[in-house]
Amino acid sequence: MTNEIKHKGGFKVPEGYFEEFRNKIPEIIKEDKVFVPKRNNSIKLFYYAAASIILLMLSTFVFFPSNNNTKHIEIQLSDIEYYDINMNDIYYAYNDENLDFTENELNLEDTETVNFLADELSIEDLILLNEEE
Amino acid sequence: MEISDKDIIAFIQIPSSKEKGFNLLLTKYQERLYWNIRRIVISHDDADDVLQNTFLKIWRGLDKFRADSSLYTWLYRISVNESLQHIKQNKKHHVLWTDDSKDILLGKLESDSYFDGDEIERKLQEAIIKLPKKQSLVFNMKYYDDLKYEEISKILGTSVGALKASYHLAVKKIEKFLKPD
Repeated sequence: MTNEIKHKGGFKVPEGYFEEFRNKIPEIIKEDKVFVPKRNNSIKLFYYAAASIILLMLSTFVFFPSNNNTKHIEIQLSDIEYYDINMNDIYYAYNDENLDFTENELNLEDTETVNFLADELSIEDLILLNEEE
Repeated sequence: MEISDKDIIAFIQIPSSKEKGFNLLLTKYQERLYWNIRRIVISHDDADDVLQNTFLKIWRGLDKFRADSSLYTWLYRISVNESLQHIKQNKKHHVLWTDDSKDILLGKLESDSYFDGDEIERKLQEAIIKLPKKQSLVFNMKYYDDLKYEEISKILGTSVGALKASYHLAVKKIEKFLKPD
């Protein structure tokens, strides 16, 4: 195929354009050969160094955590040994919810039995029954 | 006497003669590639930019050229891709009331100082610009470059049947556009 170009369509080209282009391109190619975008090794080193520092800082936080938040409550042994527990202390320590264990403790479904027990047994009998258990 | 593609490829494949082979390729194909690009991007200045980028890409890709396709098919494909890429970039940066690439190209046709066609030629270019992109590419390759459908198929990656249909539709649309009302 010949190099004859059909200049159809009304388009035209500046005088001497192709000759100029033929001379220009080899220069551009030469620059492309010289300026090859290589990875800059010093930038790589910088990033490695930065990553190492960050890792080091993070590991410090992980392996050597700060003790500021923990509070040691030192209890004197004497505080425990000679503490006289008073029934009132227990009473004031518990609230109504803690004391209201009747529903949980008593699981009597048979009301007749409950009533029988209430009617037939006196307080003393009940105490004795408990002592036996 | 023009050098054959086979000889150009032979020069390119040897590292010591790669540059010589490239210069021979440049001499042989620069005009054909220019006109192919010009018909896509319309303006001379844009065609100049795209042609430079095309040859830069060709230079960088020479080592990868495997000669599975013909040399011209490979060059043509690069030039088409670069042209379309240029239009896409132009569309992004264009500050106009519209970002349609066809409107941008029509504007370039109006303002290009290196277009001196008569009214019919201007209308023809306008008709081609208004075609869907693939149809306009096929039309240009068939009508202006006299490429065979098989060659166009390798360049665009479209089947021969689809290309024939594309060209047929393109011709019909252009005829309709050019017909006086």
